Amino acid sequence: MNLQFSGNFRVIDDPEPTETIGQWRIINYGEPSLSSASAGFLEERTLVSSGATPFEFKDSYSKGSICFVTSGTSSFTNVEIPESPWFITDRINRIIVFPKRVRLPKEMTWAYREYVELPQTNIARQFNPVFQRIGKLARLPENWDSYGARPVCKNSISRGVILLKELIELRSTIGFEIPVPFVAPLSSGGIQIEWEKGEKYLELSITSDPPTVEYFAADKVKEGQLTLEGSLRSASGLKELISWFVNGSAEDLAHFTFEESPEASIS
Amino acid sequence: MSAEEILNEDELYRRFPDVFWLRDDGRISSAAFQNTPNTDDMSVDLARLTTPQKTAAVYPGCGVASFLAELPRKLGQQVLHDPIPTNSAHSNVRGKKTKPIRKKLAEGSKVVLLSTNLK
Repeated sequence: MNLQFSGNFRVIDDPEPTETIGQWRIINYGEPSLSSASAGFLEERTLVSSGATPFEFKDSYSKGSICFVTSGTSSFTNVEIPESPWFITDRINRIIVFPKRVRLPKEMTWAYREYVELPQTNIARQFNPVFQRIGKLARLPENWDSYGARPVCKNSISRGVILLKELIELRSTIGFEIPVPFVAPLSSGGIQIEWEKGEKYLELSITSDPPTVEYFAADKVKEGQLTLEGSLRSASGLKELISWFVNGSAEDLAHFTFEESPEASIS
Repeated sequence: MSAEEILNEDELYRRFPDVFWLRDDGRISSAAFQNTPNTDDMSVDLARLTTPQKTAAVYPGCGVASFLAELPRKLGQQVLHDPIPTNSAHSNVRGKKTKPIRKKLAEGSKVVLLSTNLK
């Protein structure tokens, strides 16, 4: 079985489903190795064949609604049949679930089992230049900024790639688009990932000495600019920050309930 | 050469590799405003003693951003002329560059020269 990219669609040649549940087919494929991640997201094409593990399926298009849950490779509860293909990742297995015949939302009106659009496909393609850019940062020499900058360390690169991949995975659970960030090298040997839209600003800086991911968020309030800084220690913190940046308000930023104990100030 | 007084109205040039620190929207990343590793100083050039071309020429692939000396001073930084044998315009913006300070410096800077304009 081979996965290929074609236009907006990820094409599955000769799919042999790991399992069939009624009119649904399930295909698992493996997590790319970390070492190949910085070379590009397309490395995900590597396939493994393994049985379905217990997981929850969520409809990737309408956020949050759990349609059915498998508790093993053979038993399942069918609550609702969605019209679009589903995609889920549980960090170990990436699983595509699609009906034998599926309606696609955009260019194609109908597609058969060979043509399945995954919600992840578009965001992966959008993020591909970011991964490629990070790959280039790994090759920067000493003094690349002319002011004595250190080379970007491999740890920062790896952690940056992991963080970006977590963002892509978040897309399947939070139900809205995650804007593509700008990635910049830091002269200290780290990397900075930043987003800016209107008055909102979000920055994640990854350093290896000490090994931390720090965040800095800013938004405009009546009294001036509200800023929030701290160390990011969990995926839930990342989710909160991104959710705020995409959909939140300055008031949300002021009332963050982070486990990271952020420091907020108005300047 | 003796150090000169830098006035608030003085323009400062900051050299930066634009391929890494110039965003797609034309703004400069706050990453461009960091201190030299293991120091409290960020190097700049005093504009009235040099040109953007001279500032950029030191290293290939660099553009030049400018801001007024008043900006870092309002952020609690010192701005000091520090001429060196190879660069009489060399100056320092001294003080810890926290994330909010780097962001303000980025917001208050404008690009005056791109590396592509030097080719």
